[in-house]
Amino acid sequence: MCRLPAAIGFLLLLTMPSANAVAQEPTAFLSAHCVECHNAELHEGGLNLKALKIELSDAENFANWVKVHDRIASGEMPPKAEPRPPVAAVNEATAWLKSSLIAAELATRQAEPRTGLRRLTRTEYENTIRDLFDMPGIALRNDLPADGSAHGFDNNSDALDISHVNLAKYIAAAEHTLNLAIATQPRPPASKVQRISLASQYIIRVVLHGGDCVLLKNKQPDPDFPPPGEQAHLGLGPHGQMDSYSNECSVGVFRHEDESFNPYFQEFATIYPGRYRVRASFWSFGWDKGKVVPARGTEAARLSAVQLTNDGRGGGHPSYVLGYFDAPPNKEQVHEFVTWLNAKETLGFNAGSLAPVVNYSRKGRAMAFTGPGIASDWLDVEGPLHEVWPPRSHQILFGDLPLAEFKPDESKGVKAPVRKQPRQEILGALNKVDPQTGACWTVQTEQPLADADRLLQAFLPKAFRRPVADEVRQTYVARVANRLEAGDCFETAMRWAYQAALCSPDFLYHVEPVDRLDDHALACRMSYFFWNSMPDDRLSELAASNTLHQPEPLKAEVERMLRDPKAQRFVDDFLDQWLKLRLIAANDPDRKLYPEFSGYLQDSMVAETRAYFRELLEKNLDASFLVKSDFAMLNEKLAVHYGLPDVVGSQIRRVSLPPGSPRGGFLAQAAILKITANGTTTSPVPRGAFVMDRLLGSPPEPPPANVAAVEPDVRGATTIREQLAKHRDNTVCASCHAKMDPPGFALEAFDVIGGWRDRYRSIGDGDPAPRGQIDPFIFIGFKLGPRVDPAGTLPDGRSFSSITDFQNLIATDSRLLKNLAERLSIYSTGRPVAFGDRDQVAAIVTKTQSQGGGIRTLIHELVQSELFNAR
Amino acid sequence: MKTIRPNVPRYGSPVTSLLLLCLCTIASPACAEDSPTPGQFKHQITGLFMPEREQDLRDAFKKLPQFKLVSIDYANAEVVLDYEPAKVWPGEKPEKYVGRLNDDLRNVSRASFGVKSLRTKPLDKLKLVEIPVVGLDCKGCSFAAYEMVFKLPGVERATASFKSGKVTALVDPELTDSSKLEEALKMGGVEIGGQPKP
Repeated sequence: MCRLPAAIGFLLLLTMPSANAVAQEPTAFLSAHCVECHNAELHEGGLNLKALKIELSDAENFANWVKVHDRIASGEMPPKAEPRPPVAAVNEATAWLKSSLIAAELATRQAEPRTGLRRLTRTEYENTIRDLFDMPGIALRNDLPADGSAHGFDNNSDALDISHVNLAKYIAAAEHTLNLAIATQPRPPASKVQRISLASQYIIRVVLHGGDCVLLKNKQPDPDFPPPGEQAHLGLGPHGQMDSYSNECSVGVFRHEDESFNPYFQEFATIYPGRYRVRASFWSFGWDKGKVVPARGTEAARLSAVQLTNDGRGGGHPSYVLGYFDAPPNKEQVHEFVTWLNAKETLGFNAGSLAPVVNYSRKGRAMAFTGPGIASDWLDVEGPLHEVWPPRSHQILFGDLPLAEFKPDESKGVKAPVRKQPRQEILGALNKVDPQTGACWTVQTEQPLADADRLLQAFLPKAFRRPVADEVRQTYVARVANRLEAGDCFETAMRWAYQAALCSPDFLYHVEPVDRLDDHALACRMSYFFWNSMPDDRLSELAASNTLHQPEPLKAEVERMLRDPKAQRFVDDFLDQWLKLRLIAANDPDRKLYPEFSGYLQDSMVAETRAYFRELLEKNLDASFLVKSDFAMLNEKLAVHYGLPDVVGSQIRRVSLPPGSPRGGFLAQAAILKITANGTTTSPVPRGAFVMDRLLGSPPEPPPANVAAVEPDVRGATTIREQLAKHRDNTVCASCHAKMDPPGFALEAFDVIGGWRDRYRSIGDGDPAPRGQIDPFIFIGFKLGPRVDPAGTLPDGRSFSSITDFQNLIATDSRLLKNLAERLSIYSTGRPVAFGDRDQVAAIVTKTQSQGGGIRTLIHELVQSELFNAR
Repeated sequence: MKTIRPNVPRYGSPVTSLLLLCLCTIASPACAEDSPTPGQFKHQITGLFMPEREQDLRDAFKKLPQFKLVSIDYANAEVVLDYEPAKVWPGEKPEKYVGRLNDDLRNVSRASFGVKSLRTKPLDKLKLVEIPVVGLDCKGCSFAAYEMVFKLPGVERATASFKSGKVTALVDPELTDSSKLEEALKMGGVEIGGQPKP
């Protein structure tokens, strides 16, 4: 038996809370059960307890002792093969370690608040500006430097550093915001309705000539523009001169978006950022060598907002999806929605549900093609829409001060505000700038400093999300006074103050009291938790009346906030990070192995996971639903992908699953399965690690630096299980893989894109693959290789033979709810769950379970907890 | 009826333009008039490449109420217009009238119609060339084929119709021939061959 190191003995010297005075130092326990392996010679698990000093104020040392505690407390250590220590001895040892660690943590914590000072993430910044100025689509996020990540989230103070680059970007963002917010004309820009045909765009005309699109009139081929066959249409110019493209035809599209084909409705490009109403008419059709025939079913057309760069020429401009819209069989459906469009944005179209078919290079072109198409009749853009003028964004800055023409003759010595005249910068866009009078309009005041004080008194508390002291406000008023003295007009002087406010720490940082949150800080914590943004008026009023912290108002506010559409921001941002949804496009699946993958499928995957979590929240379902469910949130694309019948259309909806179906829970959602694969192959290791870390809250240790990774064999010669078996022969690897591999083995039932598989796909050896649910217009080049074996044994000895077996086993695992509680705590407070917080988390979990274990209940309990209310 | 001949071809070189201007000035008494009197004028029309285009031409002139379209001679691609140049283009020099009319007509027809000076070469010195073509029965395609041929030097008049399966051209044999026309069509993507339809 090895002697205990002096360090262990030193533990005795640590101050222990009186409540734990009964616990004894674990010298004898460690000596009897641990040091025999964890010494300098054997160094099991990379741990030498003899050399491990007791310096709990050191973060790394503290973390090592936490691991020692956790391994003993969970029963993982001593190993099963060794004699089991008496339960009392285990309890005594862990109690002693626990109290020592908490004492050390409390000592460290006295020096600084739990949640460090943290700035807004760029997502929070953008949302805050959007809500503050009622400009719900202003794009700022992508112009700000990317945030780091700590403890799994980007809103953690450890990840939110700041540099001169950030500051320069904040100044630019504030200027851009004020440029959009301030009205510069006495009347709003004229709202117009512009009807656009897809055929107005150059690239569509090109493909019309080659047969990847056709013109349709009265739902039949346009006799004046016959579909290309053996001959393509000649020159675009002469057809334009003959008005061939604008004779009120629909455009039937066969071709999916690709590198050289990006259809836009580019006759419109935003000049005046704001809200626009979009209406569009789509239908699907079948095409048989020059004839329109009944469609195979409902197709999905995608509309996106496209940020045109430079003068808008070419394709591949940055874009984001506005939505997928049903194109019903042979009968048009008109879709309508209101969206915010930024300057130089247009609308993009994609035949989202169609296979990537091209006709232009095939003999016979459209006249030889048989297959599905999506018809776009027209698209209307109406706007900009203004309910009031000046807009709310202007009123927030200048209240009810009137707009008047700035006349230099009457304003001697005063500089006019700088104006950038709007203009249409996009080639081919037909919407033009409103007639310009040349007059310069700006806000007028007879008592500038009094008005400045009044306006700032209203603005600053909103922007800073709490009451603002008079002396702070006066510094901004003084800034206005300085600029007025320097000859700036009132608007310009106020812009200086507003820009300074938007770049100040009061705006950029979450300012919280040192100890317990006051009601304003609580309102902010709640609003940034559920809305990723500032509190609204109701929340601020409750904070001002000092009633928000009371249990009932607090509960009512949580309910109100979760019901608000802005709560979708929480769902999106939380899942993006917790389940790594941000990485959904990190790789493109191999086209030979997974030819059925498409952008529409990927977007549907993400929509499923978000909708599913939203459903868990709304229905207050328990944590077992994280891994096992009797329903799924699907659209037609996903339902076909999962082999489930009778789901029609592009919209995600709740679908009951047949008995025995593994779908529904996160484990079997295509998004999670894609994120945990590399695009070509799957490996039980990263998938198992994902389950252990993200769902069970027991992240495996990182792999030793000198052990090579296991590379799956896509030639189909060996299975990943066979390779891992060899890997596990290495005793260094075995202990971690025993925990990590089983979940990964169970998930082997799903391929790289979340499809079900009994056999691995192969591009080498194998049998011919049946088409299954794959679109008949997609070429299949892969083969079927070795059979999948999804069986495994959990570390506790329980075995499973399938994914559904595995789901049943872990659905009752208490770690699911505990882990979710921890993740929500980290996300909402901006700090990690400390060792000393564990009891509070446990209490939250216990209270939740006593009320049925629902996830909504969990959120209520978290918000009511001391953990949430303390900084 | 009068003819107004002075014209500067749109795509001609300055030297060519000057030569044509001199030639027309000598040949046409009308252009010697400083101020043409109101009346009817005959012009050659470009873009009249198939019979269906007659209606397009009428539609175009409806957008130009200052000109009354009296008649269309499709075979010779000529029109007779009734208008008062001095009222239509007050202060404009007579030698600019055809150019101004050309601009006006192009503006209302997406540049698919134009006006040029009347043919000067006698018909018996010209040769009619007919080329069988295969393509889509589409006005835009026919126009494209027409432009491929008509813009060539030596082509006085042309028609194109994939519906009838042929391109015709009235050419000056001293300047061009059938092979040059076919070459231009092939370069433009037109398939030569097939059987012309009646």
